[in-house]
Amino acid sequence: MLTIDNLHATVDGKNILKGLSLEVKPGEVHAIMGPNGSGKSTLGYALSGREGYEVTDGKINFKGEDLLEFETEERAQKGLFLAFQYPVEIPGVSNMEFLKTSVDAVRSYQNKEPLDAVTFMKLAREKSKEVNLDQNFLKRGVNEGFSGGEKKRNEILQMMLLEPSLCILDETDSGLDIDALQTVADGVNACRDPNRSFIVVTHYQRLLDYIVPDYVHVLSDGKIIKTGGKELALELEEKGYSWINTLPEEA
Amino acid sequence: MTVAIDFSQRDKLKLDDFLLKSSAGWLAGNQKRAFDFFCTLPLPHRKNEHWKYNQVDFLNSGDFILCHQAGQAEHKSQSINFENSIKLDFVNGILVNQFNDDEPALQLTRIDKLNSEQQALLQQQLAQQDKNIFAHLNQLIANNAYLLEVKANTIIDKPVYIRHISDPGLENSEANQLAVNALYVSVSANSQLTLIEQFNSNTNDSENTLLNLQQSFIQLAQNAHCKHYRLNLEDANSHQVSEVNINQMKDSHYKSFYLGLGSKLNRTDINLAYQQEHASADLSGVYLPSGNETIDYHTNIQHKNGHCQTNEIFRGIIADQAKATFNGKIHIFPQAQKSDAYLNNKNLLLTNQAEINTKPELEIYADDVSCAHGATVAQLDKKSLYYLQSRGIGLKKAKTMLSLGFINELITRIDNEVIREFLLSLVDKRMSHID
Repeated sequence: MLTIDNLHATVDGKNILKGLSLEVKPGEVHAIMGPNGSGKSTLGYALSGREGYEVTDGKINFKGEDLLEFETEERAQKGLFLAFQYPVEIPGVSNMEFLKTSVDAVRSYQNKEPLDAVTFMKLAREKSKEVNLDQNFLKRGVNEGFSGGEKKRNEILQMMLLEPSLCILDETDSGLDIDALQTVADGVNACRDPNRSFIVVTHYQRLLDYIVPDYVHVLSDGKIIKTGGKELALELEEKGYSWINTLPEEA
Repeated sequence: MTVAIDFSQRDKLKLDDFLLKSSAGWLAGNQKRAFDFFCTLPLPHRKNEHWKYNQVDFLNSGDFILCHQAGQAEHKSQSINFENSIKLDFVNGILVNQFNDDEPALQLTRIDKLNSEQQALLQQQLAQQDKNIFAHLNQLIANNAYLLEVKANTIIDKPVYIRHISDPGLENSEANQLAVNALYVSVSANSQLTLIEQFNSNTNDSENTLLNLQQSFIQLAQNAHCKHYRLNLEDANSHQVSEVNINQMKDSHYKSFYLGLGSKLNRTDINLAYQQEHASADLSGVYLPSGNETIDYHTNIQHKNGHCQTNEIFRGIIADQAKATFNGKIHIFPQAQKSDAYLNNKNLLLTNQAEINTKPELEIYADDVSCAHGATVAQLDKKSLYYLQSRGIGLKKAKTMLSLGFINELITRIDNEVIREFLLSLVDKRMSHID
């Protein structure tokens, strides 16, 4: 699915990722944990091809292709999805129109007919129910005036509709209360599929109680310095991030 | 009557060439006054603050022949498909269709056929007007001026749909041409009218200039309501200078939407005056010039009496090398206590070459008022673009969506569904052509 090899990336000329390698196979869930400033969000942006996040070295292979060759929208069309930590508000563009345009764009890339308006509306309503987002939110501007939790649920709604093959969740748990966390996790778990992989970026172990990972990676200073099973998250929670600084670097 | 006007040699003009055969004394008097002003006022010039951003050099390009034939213009332009409307078509300023008067409360009269009561009404409107040289020229050439009256206590259900089409090819003229039209609208007490004015042109193939001068006057009597849509959809090569003068009495309400696509010269002055207390107006507008087009809206709202309310919002999206000007003035007179006025102008520049000159002005001479004004200029938000792209939406489409989002709020507020849908599709088409 995804192979990242020795990835180096800079933001504003500052080195953030310094040789990150990661392999994600179909159906796997990888959690990436690490302290503030370790490069967690940068990884997501570099994968999605955000302007200003410059890859200076290394390779990213996504489903057999060199991901770095493609623009942001092409990566999305090929099945890469990044759920944002802070989704932007776009007043004036209705959420429904946004969702439909997005799904149409991805379907068109896959040589599928666009869904007609009625079918799509039905589908969007159905899925919004699953993430506990009131239908009124479909009519409002994209994320306009949404609470933190509503924005995150809207991200999951987009993920459900786009049916990507790789989902990167960037601190999707931040700013969520317990109930919202449960809803979001349920949404994610409903999308789990042998052909769909997840990279879950988080500060806290809590989310991983709900979305159980196959692997946990510790990111520090732009590199993965430790990899383990889900129990690594518990260990981190207990000992704190300062503990990892004492770890010897893995070869 | 073939009249040629050379703007740089106005001293050679003769008043007699302009007087209508049927000109009654009052009308001839008006024309004489307009003639004197037109011949003596200086021509608009870029050094003049009022015309600073307009391209008016073409005025020095020799004779302008007054269009005087009602030709059969091909209406290539799209029209609003009202199920039921009262249509008036003007081609090069000249009325070309029959006024369908199965609406007894509605009356259309040419200016030289007015009775004394109607004359007084028209004189009242003219007296309020702050005239410039084009306004004087318009009133000098009186033969395409009409009065449209709505009788008292009537709601006109059908919209009055006025199309202005200019086509320089109609008269096979080798020279520059001048199309002139004036419309005086009077909505009597307790009546309601929906008025749509649409401007189209077919000048792209022409080497000569067709200068379009149009004036509309809207008089709202006590408790009269008018919804007014003014859509300037001229092609890129057009020249038009126009005015809308609104005069409001007690408890009257004016609600409007202006749309301007831009052209070589595209200037609209909106002058609104509250002549009595407790009147209100809601003005909104959108301008979308692209290519080398220009667009210019000057608005001047005069709170001459207290307890009146103005809400004015204009938004512009300027693409390519286009230039837009917005000058919004609100004037609160000393006696206009308890005035409530809000003016806002937001602009989106799509390129580094696009230009906006915006100037909101408040002049307040009363002390118990509530007024606010503001203007912003911005570019498309990069974070929003990235967000849309990250969902598979291409950059061009993302730009279109964000641009539309910037003006959607004003269009979706339009309560007439037919007009709203027409505008949405028009604007959508317009924005999709912009890179």
